[in-house]
Formats: sequence, C-alpha cells, structure tokens
Amino acid sequence: MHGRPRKAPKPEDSAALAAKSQKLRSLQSQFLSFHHGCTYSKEALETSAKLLEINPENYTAWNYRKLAVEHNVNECGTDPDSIKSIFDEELRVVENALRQNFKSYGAWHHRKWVLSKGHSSMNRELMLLDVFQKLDSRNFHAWNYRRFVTTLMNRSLEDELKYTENMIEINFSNYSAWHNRSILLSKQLKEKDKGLSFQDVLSKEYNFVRDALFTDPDDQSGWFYHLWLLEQTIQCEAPLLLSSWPANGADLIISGNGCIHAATGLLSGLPIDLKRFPMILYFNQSVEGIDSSTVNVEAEIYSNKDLTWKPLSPRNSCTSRVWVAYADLSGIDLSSLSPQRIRVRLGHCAGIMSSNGFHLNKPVNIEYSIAGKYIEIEPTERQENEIFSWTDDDSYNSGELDESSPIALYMQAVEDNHEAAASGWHIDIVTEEINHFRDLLTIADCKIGKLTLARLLIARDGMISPLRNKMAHSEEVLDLYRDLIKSDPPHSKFYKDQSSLVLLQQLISSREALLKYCFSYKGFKSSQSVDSQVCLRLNNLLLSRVGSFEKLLWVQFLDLSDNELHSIEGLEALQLLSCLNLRNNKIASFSALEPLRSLKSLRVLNISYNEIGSHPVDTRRYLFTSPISHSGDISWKRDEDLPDGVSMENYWEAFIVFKNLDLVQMDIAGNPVADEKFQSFLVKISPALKWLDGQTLH
Amino acid sequence: MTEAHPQIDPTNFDLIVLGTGLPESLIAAAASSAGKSVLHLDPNPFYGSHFASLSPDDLSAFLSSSSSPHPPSFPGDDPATVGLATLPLYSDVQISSSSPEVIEEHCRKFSLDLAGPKVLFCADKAVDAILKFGTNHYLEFKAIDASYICIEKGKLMKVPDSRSAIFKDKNLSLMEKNQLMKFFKLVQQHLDPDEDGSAKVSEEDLETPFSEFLGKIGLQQKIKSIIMYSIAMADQNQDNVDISEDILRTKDGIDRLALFHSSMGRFPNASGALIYPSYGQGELPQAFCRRAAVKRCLYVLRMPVVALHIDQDDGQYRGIKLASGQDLFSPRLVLDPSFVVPSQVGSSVEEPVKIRSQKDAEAKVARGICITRASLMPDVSNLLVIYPPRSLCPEQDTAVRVLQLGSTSAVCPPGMFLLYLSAICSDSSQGKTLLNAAISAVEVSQISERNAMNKNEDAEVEKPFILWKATYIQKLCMGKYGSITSTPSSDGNLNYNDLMDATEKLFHSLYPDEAFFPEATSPGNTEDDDDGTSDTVQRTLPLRKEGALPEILDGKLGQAQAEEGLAMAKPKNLRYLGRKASSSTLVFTVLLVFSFAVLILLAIWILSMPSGSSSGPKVHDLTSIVRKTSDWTGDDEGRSESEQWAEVISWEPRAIVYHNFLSKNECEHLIKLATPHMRKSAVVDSATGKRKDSRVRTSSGTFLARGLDKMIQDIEKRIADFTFIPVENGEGLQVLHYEVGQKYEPHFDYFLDEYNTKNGGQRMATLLMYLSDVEEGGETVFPNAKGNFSDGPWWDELSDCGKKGLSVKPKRGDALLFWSMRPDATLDQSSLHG
Repeated sequence: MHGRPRKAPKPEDSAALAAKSQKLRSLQSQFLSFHHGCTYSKEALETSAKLLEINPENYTAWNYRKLAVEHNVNECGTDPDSIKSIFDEELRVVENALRQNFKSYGAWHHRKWVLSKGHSSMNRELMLLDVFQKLDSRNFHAWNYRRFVTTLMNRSLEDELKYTENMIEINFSNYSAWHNRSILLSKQLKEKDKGLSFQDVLSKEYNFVRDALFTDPDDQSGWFYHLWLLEQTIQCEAPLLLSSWPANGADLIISGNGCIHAATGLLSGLPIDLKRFPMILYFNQSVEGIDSSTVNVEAEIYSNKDLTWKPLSPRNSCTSRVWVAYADLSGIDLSSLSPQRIRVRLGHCAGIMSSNGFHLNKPVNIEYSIAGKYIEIEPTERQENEIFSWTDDDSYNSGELDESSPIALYMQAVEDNHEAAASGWHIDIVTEEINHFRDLLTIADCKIGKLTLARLLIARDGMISPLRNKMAHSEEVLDLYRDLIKSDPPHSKFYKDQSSLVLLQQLISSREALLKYCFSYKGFKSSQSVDSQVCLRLNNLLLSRVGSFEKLLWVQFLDLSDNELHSIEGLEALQLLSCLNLRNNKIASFSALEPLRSLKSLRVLNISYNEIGSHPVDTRRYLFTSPISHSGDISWKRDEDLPDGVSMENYWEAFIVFKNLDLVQMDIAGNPVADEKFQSFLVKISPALKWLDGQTLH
Repeated sequence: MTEAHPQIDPTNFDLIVLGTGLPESLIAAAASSAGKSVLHLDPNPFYGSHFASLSPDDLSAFLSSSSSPHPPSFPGDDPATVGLATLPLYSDVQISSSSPEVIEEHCRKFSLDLAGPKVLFCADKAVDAILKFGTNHYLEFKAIDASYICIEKGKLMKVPDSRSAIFKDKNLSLMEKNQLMKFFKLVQQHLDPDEDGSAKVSEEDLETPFSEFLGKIGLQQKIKSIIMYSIAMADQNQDNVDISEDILRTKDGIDRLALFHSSMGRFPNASGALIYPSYGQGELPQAFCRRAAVKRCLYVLRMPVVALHIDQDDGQYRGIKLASGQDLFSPRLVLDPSFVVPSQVGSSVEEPVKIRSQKDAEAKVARGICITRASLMPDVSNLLVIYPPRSLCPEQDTAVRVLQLGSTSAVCPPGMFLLYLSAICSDSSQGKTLLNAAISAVEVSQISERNAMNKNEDAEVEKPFILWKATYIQKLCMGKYGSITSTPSSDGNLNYNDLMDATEKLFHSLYPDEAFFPEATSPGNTEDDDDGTSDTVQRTLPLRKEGALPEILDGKLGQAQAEEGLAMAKPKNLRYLGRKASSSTLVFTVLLVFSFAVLILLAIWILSMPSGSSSGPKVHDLTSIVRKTSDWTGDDEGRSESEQWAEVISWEPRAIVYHNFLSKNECEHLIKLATPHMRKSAVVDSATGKRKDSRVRTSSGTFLARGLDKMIQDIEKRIADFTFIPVENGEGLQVLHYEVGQKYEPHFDYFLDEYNTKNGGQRMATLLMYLSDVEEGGETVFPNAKGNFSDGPWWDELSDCGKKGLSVKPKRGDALLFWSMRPDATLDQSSLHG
C-alpha cells in the first residue's frame, strides 16, 4: 500500500522470523516429499495449505494443488456435491493465502483456475473484491481479478462502469480505476449495436476527466486517461491512405540498369533491384487486412496474384501503417517496354480495417505508368567502381533543382492527391480540449498539461490536414516543447524527440520547403551532365528523431548526418533508399539500425562517428532483442565460418542487420565497436562490400 | 424535603461547582482528576445546564424560567450569608407549534439542544479532550454527512471541502475547481513542516485579513465565500471592514482550514470533518461528569444553592448554603454564567477570560430550533447549511448556520428532523430577522428540492414543513476568574474550540500547577490487543492512532431508544461495542462486574492512593447502569423454580453457566426496580447524597443501588458464594436492555489502561444474569473462545460473525460467569465477548 513508512525490524521480530523460516523449511520438505510421491491425501493437502497460508508465493505448491484437485475430482466420480466441496476447499485456501499477502500472483491465479472450472458460485467473489479494493483501491491484482469475475458473471458493462466511476469519485488518483474504465469503454464501443456513438461517449469522458485534471493538474492518473481518450479520438475515423509509391499519376521510366526516371527526366540516378520493384501504401493509422483480395492491381506486366503484401513494422505484427509489395521486373526487357498503365484499387470492398474496427471505406484509385528506356552506358558498373564521397560539400549542387525539375513535378503529383479535411465532430472535440487546456495553462504551470496541449495541437493539425501540408500550430508546439525541455530536464530527451518530429514536419511541409533540402549530387567524377542524383539533405538540423516518411517514399539518397539521431524508426518505409548517411549522430547500437533490414536496395551506408558499442547492452530499446526473437528471414547458423578470434555472440546484433543487405560501401569508423575484429567480421558477412571506411577491399 | 435532599458528607471540599454545563463539567473533571475533592451541584433535574438536550416541553419550561431573573430567595439579614440570584440568559423566547398533537405524541423522543447548532470537528480540542479524559467510552457519535452553502440566491451547493468533493462538484467551473484545490494545496504546503520557507505564506500575509489574502492570490468571490464561511466557519462579514469588528486574519483562517482538513478522515468511520454526539450535545457535559464521578467527584442534582457564605472580614467567599439547609465549605467556587456573583464578594482579582470571538461584550446569539417533517435534502439526514453574509438579505452581516439532524442521531423520532439555527447579532430584533429569513429560505429550498424529486405529490406539499419552532436570543457571557469563578456561556461558534480554550484558561487560573488534561491513558491498545499484528498496523497509521474512538452507530439503536422517550445513559466502562444480536424479543441482562482483588495490584493501588483518601470511597467502584427499559412483554410465564446446576461451557475463557440462578420472582423484581430509573431525569435524585456509593452511581445517571433491598442483598450474597469473590468487590448491578436488532461489538470487560486499573483495580470477572427469555438471537458470543479461529480485522467483514465462536443463549434466570483474567492474574484475551 501507499505512503506507509517501513519500520525498522525489532530484535524480537528477527527471532520470530527465524522461527518462521524454520517452520517453513520443514513444511516445504514435507510438502515436496508428498509432491514427489504424488500423494494427494487429506493430510498432504493440509500440509500444502499450511505452507501456502504462510507463503502464498510458493507456486509449486499451487501447481501441486491443481494436480491434487484434478486427481481427487477423478477419484470421486460424478457426485456434484463432493466435487463442489473439493473446489470450495481450494477457494478457502486461496482466501487464507490472500489474507497473508493480497498481492500474490500465484494465489490469484489459482483462484481464477478454480473458478474457471465452473463448479463454484461467483456470488462471494465480488464481496471479496470489495474488501480488497477497500484495503488498497489501486491493487491491480484485485482489478484484474474483477475483470475476470465480471466477465464470467456476465455483469453488465454499465454496472461496471458505474463501479469504476464510484471508485474514481472516491479518489481520482487511481490509475487502476481509470485503466479499467478505458477497457470497459473500449468493449462498450465495440458493441456497436448498443447505438452508442463515439462522439457521445468521448465527449462525456472528456468532461469527466477534465474535472480531475483541473482539480489537480499535478496528478498524473487523469492525464494518462486523457491521452488514451485522445488516441481514441484520432482513431475514431476510417483509416486513410496518405501516400503511395508510385504515386497516383506518376509516369515512371525505368532503365535496364534499375535507374528510375520521371517523364521529364531522371528522378534519381541510383539503381534499384529490379527483382524487387516496390509498391508502398502509407496509411494514417495502423491497418490490417491488406492482401491481393483487398488491393487489386491491374497491370499487364505482372499479375495481381503474384503480389504479396507485407506489413512494414518493427515487430512481427500483422498491422502496420506501411505495407509493401514487390514486383519482379527482372524478366522484362525494359529497353523496349512501352508505357504500361497500372491501376491499383483499394477500399472497394471491406477488409482493410483499423485497430479500432473501422474499415477503409473510401475507394482509392492509384494510376501510374511504367515505361522502359534504353541506356547506352551502364552506369551501374560505373558507380560500383567508384567510391561515394559524403563529406565533400562541393559534391552537392542545389541550383539545378527548381520547380520544373523532375522531382518537383513528381512531388506536385503527390500533393494534389489530398485535400484538407473540412470539419468533423472529432475536430470540434479536440478544438474544445485545446481551448480548455490553454485556459488551464494560464493559471497553472503544469508540465503534463503543456505536453497534452502540444499533443492536442498536433492531433488537430493532423486531422485537418492528414498529410501535414499545413502545420497551423507547429510554432506553438515547438515553443511548448522548448519550454518543457527547459523546465523538465529528466524528460528532455523525450521532448526533444517529439519536437524533432514536429520540426521535420514543418521543414518539409510543402513542396517548396522540401525542395530547399533537395540537392543534386555531383560527386562522381565520371558522371555525365544529366545523370545527377537527387539527394535529400536533412543534415545539421539537431534532429533526434526523423518522421514524416509518407512524403519521402521516393527518396533514394538521404543525408541525415550531423544530427542527434538515436533512432531511425520508420525509415523502413523508404524502400527505394540506396544511399544513407547517418554520420555523426547518436546511434548507440546496431539494434537501433534494425529498420535497415528491410531496405533491400541499400548499397551505401555511413554510420561513422556514432556511439555504437559504447554500451555493451542496448538498454534504451524497449524490447530486448535476442537471436531467438529474429527467427524471421535471417538464417542463423551457429557454425558460420568466421575469422579467427571473432565470436558471433558478440556481434549478433550487427549480423541481424547486415546479413541480408548487399552493402557495397560502408563507413563505420569512429564507433567504439569498430575495431579490426569487427571489420573482419563485417567483411565476412557482407560479400558485396567493396569499400570499408574508405579503404578498397579485395 | 430532607429525604429528597439527603445530607452531604463531608462538608468541606476543595472545589464546589454549580451548574453542569460543559465548561463546569470540564473543570470538575479536570479538578477531580488532579486529586481535588469536588462537589458538583445542579439545581436542575438534568445534566448539562445551558448545554443540555431536553424534550420540547422541558426545553420550553427551562427557557421560560431562564428568561426571567430570579432574585435571591434567601432573606438577606445575615451579612455573612448572601442570597444567590440568577440573571436571565435568554430573551425573546418564542415557541410555536403547528401540529401540537404530533409533538405531544412523540414528546419524549426528542432531545433538543439548548445551545445548538454545535458539532465537533474530528480533530478539534473537544475531541482531544474527550479522548484524553477517556470520556469516549460514554459517547457515541454520528457523522454529519454533508454541508451546503448558499451561494446564489436561495440555491444550495454542497461544500467542496475535499479533493474528491471538488472533483465531483457540478456547480463549480473548471477554473474555480483549480483555484480551490490550489488553495488547499497552498495551505497544506504552508502547514507541512518539511517544506522550506518558499512554499509558505509569508509572515506579512499571515497578519493581513484573510479575505484580503484570498483576493490577493486571485480567488473569486464565490470561492472566497466557500472558504471563509463554510470551511473556516467565519461568523462576521469578512469583506466589510467597517462593520465587522471581528475580521479573520490569514493566520487564523489557515488554522481553521488546517483543523477542518485534519478532521477529514481522522476516524475511518466518519466520512466528513464533522461529528455530532448521538442523543444530543447534552451527552458531552454528562460524559465529563461521569468521568469526574469516577474520579470521586460528588454529584447532586436538583439541589439549588440559596446563598453564599462570605467572610465578613475580607469579603471573600467561604461556602454555600444549600436549599436543604446544609452548609458546605470550599476555598473555591465555580458558577455557571446565569448566576450573579454577589457584589458583596470581594472581586479584586476578577478578570474576564477573553475569547476572540466575544470581543463585543454586548454580542448575542440568536438561536432557533425547528422540528420538521422532511429532510432538506433527499437521502441526507444529518447536514449543515451555511448562509454566508448577504445571502439571505442585504442587511445580513453575520453567517447563519443551520444544522439538520435526523433520527439516526437519536434525537428525534423517525420521519422527523431537527433544525438548529444560529446567528450572532448585536440586538434581538436583528437576530430574529436573520433567523426568520433563514427559516423561510430553508423552507423554500426544501420545497424546491422536493419538487425536483417528484413533481406530482401535491398532497404532501399541503402539510406544513415545520411542526414546531422555538427561537430565542441568548446572551454571550465571558468566563470570569475570581474568588468566585464564572464559566463562559455557550458561544456562537459551530464548535467548542473557543469554549475549551476559555475553560482551560479558567482552570489554570484556579489551579496553576495542575495539568488541565490528565496524562492520556495509552489509547489505541484498549480494544484490539488480541491480535498483535493488527495492533502494529494501527500504530503505524496515524489516522488510527486514537483507536476505535468515536464510534458511529447505525441508526437503529437510536430509534429504539427514543421510542419510549427514555433518555439513555451509556454503561460505564463498557468497552466496547459490538454485536448483541437479538432478533425477536427483548432481553434483560444484569451485568455484575467484579473488581480486581488480587493482592499485588491492590498493594500497588494502596501505595498510589493520594493522602487523605482514608476518608474517601472504598476501593471498588460500584457502578450500576440502567440502560433503558421499555415494555418487556414476551416473558415466558410457565417457568417455575427448578433445579440449580452449574455447567462449564469453556475453559478459555473460563465461562460457567449457572442454570436457574435467579428465580422468576427475582427477575421480575429486578426489572421492576430498574424501570422507574430508566428516565434520565429520575436517575440521580433518589440516590444522590448517599455518600461513597453515590460517587460511582452518579457516573451512570441511573442505577440499581447495591444492597438496595433484601432481595438484591440475597442475590449479591448468592453471587459472592458462587464466585468466591466478596460482595464488597462487586461493582454493582447494571441492568441492560436490548431491543430487537440492537447489538454490541465484541469487547473486553477488563481494563488495559493504567488509569482505570489504579482507580478501581482490575476487573476479574463478569456475571451476566438473563432476566427474560427470547425467541431467537440475543446470544452472548465469545468469538475468541478456544477452538474457533479468530478472524483478522478485515476478514471480519466477510464472515457471518454472529454465528462464530462460543455462544450462550439467554434463558431467564440463568447466569453466565466468565473471567476476564486467567488464574495467574494475566488478562485473558479469549474473554472477548459481545
């Protein structure tokens, strides 16, 4: 329980403790001998009960009792009374154990197990729960159990909602009660036949939680609930396709070496793998159900059936905002390919669904064309014989990229696909919340209030302009984050990440703005005039996170050097990416580079002067990666032939990232990890590697 | 006459106190605790004087007699003997009744406070005093469920007095909620000893008027009103510096808020900050009187004092002359405020004891009492309403407070409610105006509430809301110290804090070397020591430190009490309450508790006796308490004298049932004897003055005297034979009556505090005699008896307690003897019973 000082142990307590442990030990050995002998007699059960009443955490004893119950129930046949008495005895033992420690997982679990057998009456359970929740209203064990019991009892959601409301009214600093409320409401909203509208429920909840937030803005429990509400508000609409590659109306020309041209000129001089010509769909929220039946691709050069749609998400989940399918163009003679119209249709039938159960209901049509082109010189060979020079600023030339450049025209096509959403009740709700919290911040200096206001403003901008072409409030949001970084140093990294995302959005919100960061690369000495590569240079902007990838699906050449990036989450959407510069950032581990794994076109990578290897274990990641969790497309052979003295165990994170990439050039110098051993390891696992840290291999 | 007023022996006391109001009782209790010999007299037939709780008839009679002066009745021919006069404390008494027959029918079920409305804050000085004096054993409390304040014209809003109340409130805007909570936090920070100076209110601000400070930190008028009048309970208009003589400073305001907030949640069973003593506030002085009686203060009621003896040389007070003609002497005299200190008495050292709220000597308080037929608010029976200045009429300069109490507080019959109103005023007409305005405002809001509830009950609306009404103006008198000391009158505050302060000052003037509060009897370990773990938990929880005290009971008990119009006295030293579950008929039990007789402790007691105690009372206290009787139908006729035999029912605790211990005649005799004494007013008068025994007896208010007649002597002899404990060691007979549904929580009879053990010795055993039969229920239960596993405190709520443990079924004539001590003189915890 909360706010109780711990007492110093008294000498007589330690004596009692010794006596208790002595007793426990003898009980334990007695119990184990019964357990090993599969003895389920009355005496044996009593021993285990005694043991559990003293120490409810003994899960072996709980499991023993489960075995015993099953054994005894089989023994006594079909007499319902004796079966019931066996289970009643279990409930009694659990009750006594909970008396000892009402936060024992084993005891609660055992109770659930007994009740799920269906031989016991449920009437007592709610009474029991009332007692526990009176003792400690935030006891999440009791709340968990409550959900279990009420589901079994079929107690109505309304009753339970009323109950949580009462609990919250008694003390609104009750995370567990708010949490329970969010679970109940989610359930209630899914039962669509009740005729409850999201609008009514959400606005009622906003009013409810607002009372708590205004009464005590420093109490966080209500704010968490508010965050959940905001999430529901954002996701209360059908999912929306934000952008795609190739974009609607694009006319692409692909040369036999894999270079992509727009109608008016070369889009980027970097070749892609023709076996994996990507099609990318980028939604505004996570969706599931993208497959060849829900997405219909009409094309002559490849058939719909051959396309396999895959989610691009860090974990093996079946929902994602980004979906990709690869077409195999390698068998087609591109030099003579006449323009092919390709139609992609989705949303014509149900199946694409958001996590809140909304279907993509507006049909979307994407039409583009692909044509082939004959190229005299083989630039592929040329480039592969020439090292990339990242650092030389003279290699970039911005003058040539104006409104008439091919890339600008391509971007225009993307932009025109979306019109601003006019209005909607969810925008009104968020607007109202924004007004309330602006008021609150005039009278209270409240960090979490500022954060919430920033989130609300971002959410509102996103609702009005899904592709974030108009960022009406970005300056206000950035101000809020600046303020927060200053006033709340412990969380400044988080605020920095959030403000980086907003900053980036703002920087590339419009085509004109984005063009300012596009350069043509002149680094190849042998390059010919028109064959320049378009490079997006977002370097030296103090970014700690990058986002807004929906606008950057076309990017092949990305320079993010001299920022403060520690993560490149979301970069996996840039399927065309072939050159990536992450020099001089704050990337601390190979696991932070995991998005690269799905960038099959990546040839050139610079991760020099980062912090990889500075921490032996990557503690910043939420999920601890292990070889086993990557069973996916990596073949993990323990007996991989490695150079002497190099152990796979030390580098398995790197192995996972680089194994399936065909990197040609890589820079890794300036990282703690980059010693000779590691270099030899890298060379070993990347057979295509020609340059490592500027040195020519082979 | 002589029979009604038996001779009092001895005739010399350290202190004589006249009047049994709260300040007088406190002084008497404190002085007797300090070892002084005290005589406490009251001319009235009831305890409490101007703090009493009375029936409507008695109240009318008392008000009318106290609203006219009584000149000295003693012929003033002897210069050494000066007649004692009284001045009227009350004026403008108006009593009206719209349904006299209803009131008449239930007259005895009301107990109306003379000095209402008054409540206790859970953390205030009065509660501390109650706990420190150990008077909590005689008292039960009921929580005030809600308080309301009138903010907009006529509209009542619940006072948002806590974090969750602010959250729930529907009347405050979001910004107001924030402001109010922020202010609460500010106060909390200011009071937090761990906070450094920056979080505190500056010294300079602390001296400014509270209202100004609230404005300075940006609070709106509405929030200011809520804070000043409904939480800090200010009386005067705080925003009008010209008119209000008494402006609350920030320091005081914050202190009052601190009191309020530390009151919230002090006792787990009181939801809000305020509690009210069940059976009326008259219970409070009476409880202190009982405490004093335990400390050998002598009580005589219905004993007017006709004159004072004055030293002819220096004019100093010497003694009193009673109406019985007896002369008694003491160096000091304390008078209640209605008595006039004769001018002949040398008043050289007389000095008023100032209480802050009574700067204006001419101030009066207008009080009103209404009996209503419906609650102001649906579903809430005990509530407080505050009309801040100017909310009733523009001329209103003081806050008017209205306290509603329902039958759950055992002050009125079910279905009716009491309203107490008070307003401080400078003259009577102003006071009356305020009271009447408040009464009509209350009526209006009651009607609107009811209309909101159900719109089509016109028939109900026809009936008058107020059945009975009394309004009167009371003078505010300050306490004065001198060779004759006057206590202060009841003030206009909602609580007793200022009165407690003034009384403490008076006491210190009287006895500069004595502590006003005797050393606390170690609280908290009186009840639950049977379970070591629960005890440690309690000690770590500051909220529970004071233990199981003020006990909030269910409403049932109160109703049953009021039914017969019998005032009820709570049993002395019954610790403490539990479940005596009788579900059908009535049970009478006689409780006989034996005092401690083991030599070692007795020796200690002798050593610790103050000198001069040889003339004092005997070792043992004789307590006998009649706990109310009513009709005792349902007695089984056919039981005749049958064989007597003993049956041992348990060894842990040692419990023996002696079957057919009493004959049917004896049972009936005991009931008959007890019946006339059930009235509170009749309690003392037949018995007082009988020297030693009376001291103890008075502490109960009603009792059966030891050795009262032949039959009782026989019974006591038989008890002594049965228990092998001499008659002298018995406490006396205590007749208890339990109605259907009444119960007592399991308790111990033995003492755990040093205080009581020293005083009367430890209790060894209890003999329960059942005087009537019941159809079902009514058992005495020993939940701790061996063989029954005892439940932890929280587990209790789950189990069907009544059926647990060893229980004894009442049967008329049977006696149950159980020992609170083991044979080796250690306390037997298995003797927990209920």
